[in-house]
Amino acid sequence: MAWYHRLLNLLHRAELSQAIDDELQFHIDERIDELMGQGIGAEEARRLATRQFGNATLHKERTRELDLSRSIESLLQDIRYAVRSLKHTPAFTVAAIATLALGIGATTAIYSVVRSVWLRPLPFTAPDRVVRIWESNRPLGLNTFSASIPNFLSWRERSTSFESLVALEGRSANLTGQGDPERVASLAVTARFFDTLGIRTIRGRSFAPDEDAPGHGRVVMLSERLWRQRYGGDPDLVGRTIPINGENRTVIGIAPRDVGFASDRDVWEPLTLDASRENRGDHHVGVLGRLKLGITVSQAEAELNGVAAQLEHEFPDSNRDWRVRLAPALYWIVGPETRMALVVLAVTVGLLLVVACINVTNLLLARASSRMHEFGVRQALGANRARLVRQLITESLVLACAGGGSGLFVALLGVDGLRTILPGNVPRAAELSLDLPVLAAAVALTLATGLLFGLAPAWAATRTDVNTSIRQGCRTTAGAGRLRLRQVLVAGEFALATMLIAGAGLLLASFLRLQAVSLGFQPRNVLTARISLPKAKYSRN
Amino acid sequence: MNKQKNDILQGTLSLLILKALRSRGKMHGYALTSHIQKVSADLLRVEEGSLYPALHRMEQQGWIRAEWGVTEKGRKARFYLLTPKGEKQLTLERESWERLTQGVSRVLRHA
Repeated sequence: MAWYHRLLNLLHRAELSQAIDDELQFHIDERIDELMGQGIGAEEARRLATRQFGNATLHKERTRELDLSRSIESLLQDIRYAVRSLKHTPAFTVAAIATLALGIGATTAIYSVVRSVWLRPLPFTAPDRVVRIWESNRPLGLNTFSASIPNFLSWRERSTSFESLVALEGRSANLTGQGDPERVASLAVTARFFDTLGIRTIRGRSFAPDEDAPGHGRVVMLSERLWRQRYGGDPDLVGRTIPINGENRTVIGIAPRDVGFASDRDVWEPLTLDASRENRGDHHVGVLGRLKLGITVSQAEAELNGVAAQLEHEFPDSNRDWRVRLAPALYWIVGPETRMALVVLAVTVGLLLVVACINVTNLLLARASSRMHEFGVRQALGANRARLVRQLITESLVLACAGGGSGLFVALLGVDGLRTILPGNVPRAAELSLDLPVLAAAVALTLATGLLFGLAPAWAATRTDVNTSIRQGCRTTAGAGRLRLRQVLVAGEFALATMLIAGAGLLLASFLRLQAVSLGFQPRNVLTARISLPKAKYSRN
Repeated sequence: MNKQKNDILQGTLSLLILKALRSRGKMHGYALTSHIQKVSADLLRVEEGSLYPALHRMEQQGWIRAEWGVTEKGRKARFYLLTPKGEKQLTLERESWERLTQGVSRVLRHA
């Protein structure tokens, strides 16, 4: 309620200011009357009453302070003042804003990578229940290996922890028909793949439950990219047949751009499960599963290992020492190396931001020294220290906001650049963008940096003895404490910068070393090529 | 000026204002200062510098209400009245004041 009042008061503050004047004037008038009643002359009474009343402006200010949201009003005033005083020192202002723009921009760009690759949820329904299942064989040193189709079918029959289990296999496909022939990456998946993950097609349907049975696999789904690029986004493509690997296949649906992984896949085909043609020892498919509600990853892993032990007993030739490993899907898609790289990047750019902040802090401290006189005068005129600190913090925040604003442009450029620079094996990088959460983080970052680099200078600048600072006039002398603070900051900045440069140098050195590793043969003028012959034209014999 | 300073303890000013409004009803700021000074037999003097900020703060808290009116002498003045919320506040502040003074005097007597 009090806030409501204050805001209301803010709206008609001129009126209010007049009202307070009236009220205080009334007080003085009453006092004059009383004094005159005691036989004092009018002139003298006025003088006494006014003197007794004291600093009228100050009383008025204090009263007003309580009335209207003075904080808001004085904030606006502070901002205006800050902008004006920053304009007086353009070199300082430009340097500080540029430094901050680089720091905040780089941090925002890297954060957007961390977010889109790692933190963003997978585009599945209930993604935390989707797990990747590997076979592992310790004596052979295989930790995360593909599964064989007969083993996959046995898991599906014998386990109870999963709502469903699906298999997938990377392949490639020759697209012929209209236009130039094209070779594209494809992913063969069992029929319930899209239902299990909860991925919706953007057109048409996904595979029907029996379409992975032998003899049914005459259907195909295309990626959105392929649909748009090769077929011009033709809405009537679904339902038509196109030649793939020399066979006619019916297009039944278009997969969305983001399926969480396999962003390089353009063709989706059914993975035919024909146990009679498979060898239990032939490990060539990946397996994903959706856990039943309430089942944990380790429970499911224990159950599947029980099944693996049975299989080892039943099929000792093919299944000796084969066990099962499970991990949440995100852990599989964004592997430990990628995570590590992201952490290193984030820490590095964070340090860069700290260095930028220290730079600006130092600039501010230097500036504060030359403004000692101003602060001294203002304190002598009755400004209290908290007020001055607030003023200076406002200045830093104005700087930070300008830096953050320019930083967003840097971040936009950075994200564009990163999209092209990032190596192809970084998962989920295609969807890199400055989305709302990233922008929110950038704003928070801006405010935090404003406080971070503004607090110390504000504190130091106002810790001044009014007498000395006024008497010393415009002579700029930094107090011992302030000097020490600057020394500490410069030392810290040097340490951080050295660390960053050393780290970058080491990375570069490792990179150069890797480039120089001898391959054991002379790669110059050696070419490699792969040719695969479509099954339809080149049958087994 | 030969005044023995009897600055009113921080926080007790609102108690005094609430009490004065309780017993005398509607009053303007100047009347409040003279009333408190008179009733306390000149022991307490309310500084203008603290009175008006206090009044406006108490108004924001909803303990008192203000309205413009005209004095007997025909001057326009801002009058203050106690609200029901202010009554409760008065009881609270009175109790805590009594606890404080009792405590202090016990310490002075016995400790």
